[in-house]
Formats: sequence, structure tokens, C-alpha cells
Amino acid sequence: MNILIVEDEAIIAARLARLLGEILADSDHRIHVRPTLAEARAFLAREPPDLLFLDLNLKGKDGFALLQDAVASAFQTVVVSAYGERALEAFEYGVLDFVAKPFNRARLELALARFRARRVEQPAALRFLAVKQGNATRCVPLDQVVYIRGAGPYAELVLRDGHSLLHGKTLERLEQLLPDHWQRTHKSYLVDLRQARRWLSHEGSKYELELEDGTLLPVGRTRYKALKAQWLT
Amino acid sequence: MRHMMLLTFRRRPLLLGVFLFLPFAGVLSGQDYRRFQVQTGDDPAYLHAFPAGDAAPTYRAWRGQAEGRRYKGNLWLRGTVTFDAKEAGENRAVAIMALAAAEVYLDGELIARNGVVAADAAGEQPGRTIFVAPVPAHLDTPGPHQLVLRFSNHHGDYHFLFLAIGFGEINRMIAQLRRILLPLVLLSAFFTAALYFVLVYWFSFREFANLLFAATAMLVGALFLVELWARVGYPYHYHALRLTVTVWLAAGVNLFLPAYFAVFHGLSKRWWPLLPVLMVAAAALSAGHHDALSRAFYWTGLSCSLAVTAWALWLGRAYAAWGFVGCCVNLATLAATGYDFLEGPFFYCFLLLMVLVMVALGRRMRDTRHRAHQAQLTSARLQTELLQKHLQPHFMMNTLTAAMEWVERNPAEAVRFIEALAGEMRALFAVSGKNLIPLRDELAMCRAHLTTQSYRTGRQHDLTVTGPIEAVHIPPAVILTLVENGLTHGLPDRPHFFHLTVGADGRRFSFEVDQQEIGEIEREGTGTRYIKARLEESYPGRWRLWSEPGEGHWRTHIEIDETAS
Repeated sequence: MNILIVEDEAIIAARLARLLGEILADSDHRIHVRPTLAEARAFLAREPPDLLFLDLNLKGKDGFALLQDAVASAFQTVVVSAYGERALEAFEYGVLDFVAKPFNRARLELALARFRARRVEQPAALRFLAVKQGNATRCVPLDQVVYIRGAGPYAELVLRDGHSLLHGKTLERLEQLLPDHWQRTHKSYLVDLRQARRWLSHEGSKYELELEDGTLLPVGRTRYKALKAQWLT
Repeated sequence: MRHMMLLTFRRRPLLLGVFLFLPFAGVLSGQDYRRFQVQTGDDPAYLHAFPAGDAAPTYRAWRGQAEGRRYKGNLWLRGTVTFDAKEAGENRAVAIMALAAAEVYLDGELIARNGVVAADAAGEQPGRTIFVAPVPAHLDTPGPHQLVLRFSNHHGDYHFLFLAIGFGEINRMIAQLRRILLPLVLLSAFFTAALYFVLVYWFSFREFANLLFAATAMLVGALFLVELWARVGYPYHYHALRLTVTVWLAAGVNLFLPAYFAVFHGLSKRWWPLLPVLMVAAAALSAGHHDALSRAFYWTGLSCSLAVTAWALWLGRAYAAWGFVGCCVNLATLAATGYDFLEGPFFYCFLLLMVLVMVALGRRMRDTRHRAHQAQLTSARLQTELLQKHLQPHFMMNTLTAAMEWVERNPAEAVRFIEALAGEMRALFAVSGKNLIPLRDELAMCRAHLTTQSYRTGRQHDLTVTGPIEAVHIPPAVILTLVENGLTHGLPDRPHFFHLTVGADGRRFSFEVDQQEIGEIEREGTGTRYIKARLEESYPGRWRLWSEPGEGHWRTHIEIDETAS
């Protein structure tokens, strides 16, 4: 497991590194520390981590721009900030966790547990998906997204207007962040079940889901019953 | 001769037209008393004829001689008056103004007495300066009548003076004498204004200028009272006293008024002792009698006031225009009205000046309050800002996180860290409420901050100082803010060196930070704004702050100009 810590205050960066190292002592891991954003960017381009611990001063506008940049990437982001009151907002943008300063070892254990879980309960539902387009980062409201299709290391967001956008995260990492009404209907599909019109069962154990706009999406054989049951309740 | 104003000739109003702005023509038909014949001394035979007969001098001719100008003693006047026909039911009366006791004979018959005429001071009872007596009905017939006046002037310091005589309908004359007192209402204005300025001084603004204006208004009120006294009339032997009092009051008014303007506008007062000298010189050049003295004082005092307000205007002093306009009006009116100015126009002009001065004072009070309020707000805001900066989440939470780490890693070091932090906070709380603090305290606070920072960053920062430290004062946390800016913009993973140079005069500071990441301190960040606001609070308009890059460092300069304070 590859972890990057971005924190300008040496003692705090050291604390994060020390505690994470202790927690992950039994597993294979690497922890890197970069004090500035410029150095962090250079590192990210070279060696993308699995998890980023990002110290953010969320008081200004810049903090959130940086946050959007981070959450659009392939890795999961844990924000470490003094501004605990901005946590819910951060969750809406898709951070995996928000660790308020000051923090202890147990809190970091929890953050790592969230990283390892298939799905985590978020204090605030994800509302935006940040998507990198060239050098810019665009924020797509989640309710504009009809379904998400896996595309190798990326995920393709299919929007209501028919357009689609590529997101830097895999389906698995997005699934961790999405609210409960978003379900994995197929190994390659994440669907907002609120938009399902009916479930189709074809011969030869072939299942499909018809969306409100008439789109037909394949449904995994093993997932069909449970999903339909969840949908009916 | 100004008393001729009081009772006048045929076509002129009885009383000061300028003063009252009311026409009084027709109330009284005056007599040309200057053609009356004069006989000094006292003899009952004078009632019927003067020894010199028609060769006796006229009052005008006699007044032209040395004796007539300074005469004290007994005196007779004789002349012919012509009554016009009167309406039925009307009653004729005679009004006389003279500085003497008097008996009035019409066609050989005693018709009125003012005091008791006698040969010496012991026997004489002084008459009043103005008296009115009815003409007996049997003598009140149309046509010429023989009028004889017997006077004596043995009291007081003032020589005999015959001012006026006139005949008129008695009720109109009484009404007229009441109207004379109408301006009395103005008296309250002067005294109320004086009281107001004293109260302002006592309760709100302890400015000497307020007392000076109160004194001026009080003197003008007194002057006005004395002027009104003349219109009411008084025993004639007070005349010299009244004139003397008038001159002294005029001198006081004209001494205080220019001083008031100088003090109000914060101008130099060193010229002020020159003013009495100027006034004495102007008086010496004048004709010498009381009115001429007063007029000389008004010219000097008002010219000086005008010069002072013009000076204030030239220097761009606030509210100077109000006083300047007031002085212009006064001086212009003095030039236009001459001696009359002293009796009526001056009081109206001064009333205007008083209103203008009150407007200026009112505006100044409003502005002063506003500024004081703003300054209070600014001070309170800066204090809050300073404390807030150290209580804001970024600082507090990072500090607590660092403390946690030290506790877990090395409890003894953690204790030292917490102590250093307590020291920094204590220093901060000690200075936050002040406007200026000793540079020594400021530097101690900076060093405490650098110590806590070294616990957090793991780097040893250093602050050195050259130049005098003792007796130099500075607004709180100004250098601290520069240190913080340096740390914020400096590269986080290396130690930083700060150097403060204090000018020999303790008013110039130059602060050097080693190589910065961004290259310069943000110009209008919260830190820079804080420094500017603090400098403005303590040295309004008298400071300069600028920054410049140098070889491997960034330098910020602060310059304070104390000369204006």
C-alpha cells in the first residue's frame, strides 16, 4: 500500500507517518511525505499512491480547488484539516475520510479501515464528481449522472444529456464513495436505482434493467435477486 | 455726537433705525436745540431774559468753544418752539435728553422737573438722562412758544451735554419708549450662548477655545446690556462710568475674539500679546473720545480675527470658512456703518458670527465623536484580529496536534513546548489591548513565537537585531506579523533567519527575511493589512511601509514621522 502525506508542518507530517507506519506495520506499505503542493504534484506524476493524506487549509477558496483536484484522481483522498466544520462539504465532493486535527492513532485506524472497506457510510452523501478535463477540473453534480460504466482503470460517467465523461477512479473506488441508492448491477456498471423503471428477466438467465429513459443495462446473474428486492422496498 | 441718534430731528426716526429696522418718523417733532441760546451761571432773572440778550451765543457756537466742550456747573438755554395744531383728545409731551438736572419752563411757567437743580453738588439731585413731561393743556396752543431750560451738572465726571429735545403725542411717545426695549430679547441669546459654551467645555470638550468663546459672548452680552441701559435712561452722573465700561468691554471682546479663532484652529498664539499693543496704537491714532476708542478696538480686533481665520483657511483647517465669513460680515458692516456699528449693527453681526461659530463647533463635535468612535472600533477590531489570528483553527489545532505528538514521543519535550506556547500566548494577551508597546516586549514575543515554531517545524529559526531597542516603541505584533509572514512564505523545510535594523532615531525599521519561496511578501494579505491599520492607528498619516527584494532576502521598511505629533 502506497501512501502519500502532504503536510507542511514537519511535526504533524512526522506524526501522520509514524502512526500510519505503526498501524500498517504488518502489511506491505510505503509512506512518503511531501511538505509542499508543488513537491507533492511532482511525486504524484511519478508514483501515484493508493491513498493521499492531504493537509488542507479549507478556509479559503484555494483549499477546495485543491480538494477537487485530488478527488478527481485515481487514489482515494483523506483530508487532514484544522477546519472540522468543513467536513460535510468535503464529503460532498468525494473525500474518503475527513480527519480533524488534532487526531490520534484510533482515528487514523478508522480512516484506513474505510479505505479497505468495499463500501463506507459517509457522514454526508456525495453530491459532486470531480472530473479532470485537460488541465481543468470539472465538478459534475451526481444527479446528472445516470449510470457509470467501468472502463479499465477509469470509469465512464454517462450523463442525462447523453454525454459521457471519464473519471480517474476505478468503479471499485467510486463505489466506496457513492450513496446507497447507487448499486453495482454488474461487474462493469454502477447504477442509480432511483432511475430504474423495471427489471427484465430473459431466457437463459440473462437479466436486464430498463431505466426511465429506456436504456437497457445488463444485470449480473448473482446480483439480480438482491438488487430487485432492494429496489422493491 | 451719537446720542443725537436717540432723539432726532423732524425727518429722522426717534431711535436707531438701523438697530430696530422700524421707521419712527412722525412720533416726535424734534427741535433744533443747537440754535437755542446759552447762558452759563444761575439767576432767576434768566427766566425772562439773558443779560446779553440776542447777543448770547447759540448752543452750537458755545459747544464750539473750549468752555462749552468741558463745562460743568449751572446753565440756562432759551429758544422758541412752534406747536402745530393737534387733534382733539391728543396730549402733547416734551422729551429731553441731557446730562444734568433740569427745570423746563414754557412761556415762563415751570412745566417739568428732572432731579433738583442747585448751585452745588450738595444741593443738586441728579436728573435722569431721558425724561418725558406733559405740556399743560392751557399752554398747548398752536403757534410759537418761549421755551427756557434751567440745568445744573455738579455730579459725576462727565461735563454738561444737551443731547435732544422733542415734542410729540404722549401715548405715541410712551409706546416708542417701550419699543426701544424690544432688542432686549437678544440679550438672552448672548448669555445663553456663553452658558452653552461653558457647558460644552465642562461636560464634553475641554478645549480652551470653548471658554474663550464663552467669555467673548459674555462680554458682548454685557456690552449689549450697557447699550440698552442708555436707552432706558439713568441718573446722568453714571454717564462717564457707562462709557468707560463700554470701552473696556469692547476691548475685551476684541481681545478674546481673535484669540478664540487662533485656539480653535490650533494656530500659533505667540502673536497674541501684540494685539493689545496694536489696539493701544490704534486707540492713540483715533480721536480720543470713548466711541473713537471703541471703534479703534473693533477695527483691530475684527481685522485680527479676519486675518486669523484667513490664515486657518489658507492652512486648510477644517471649519475655518465659517469663522472667516462671520469676520468678513462684521468688518464690512463696521466699514459701512462707522460709529453706528457700535450701537446696533455690531450686535446683529456678532449674533450671526455666533451662529456660524456654533455651526463650526457643532460640526467639529460631530466629526470628533465620529473619529473617536471609529478609532475605538479600529482599536477593538485590531485587538480582536490579533487574538483571533492565534485562536484560529489552523493555529490552534496544529498546535494541539504538535503537542499530542510531543507528548507521545517525548513527554519532557512536550512540557517545554507547552511552556513555550504559554509564554507566547501570555505575551500576546499582555500587548493585544495596547496601542504602543516597548520594542523589547515585541521582540520577546517574536522570539517566543519562533521557539514554538521550532517545536512544530523542527527547524531553529533565528532573529537578530541591530540598533537601539531601549525607549523605542512600536504598535503591538507589527514585527511579529512580519516574522509570521516570513515563516508562511518561506520554504517550510529549512530554518529561517530574520534581521531587524532599528534606525538611530528609533523611528525607522527595516526587517530582513532570508530567501522566500514566493519571492515576496504578499502586499495586501491580512498580515500587511494588520500592520498598516496598526500604524495608522498610532501615527495617522505619518508612516510609510514598503518592501523590496534584495540579494537572497526580502526587506520590509517602516518609517514613522513623529514631527507632526
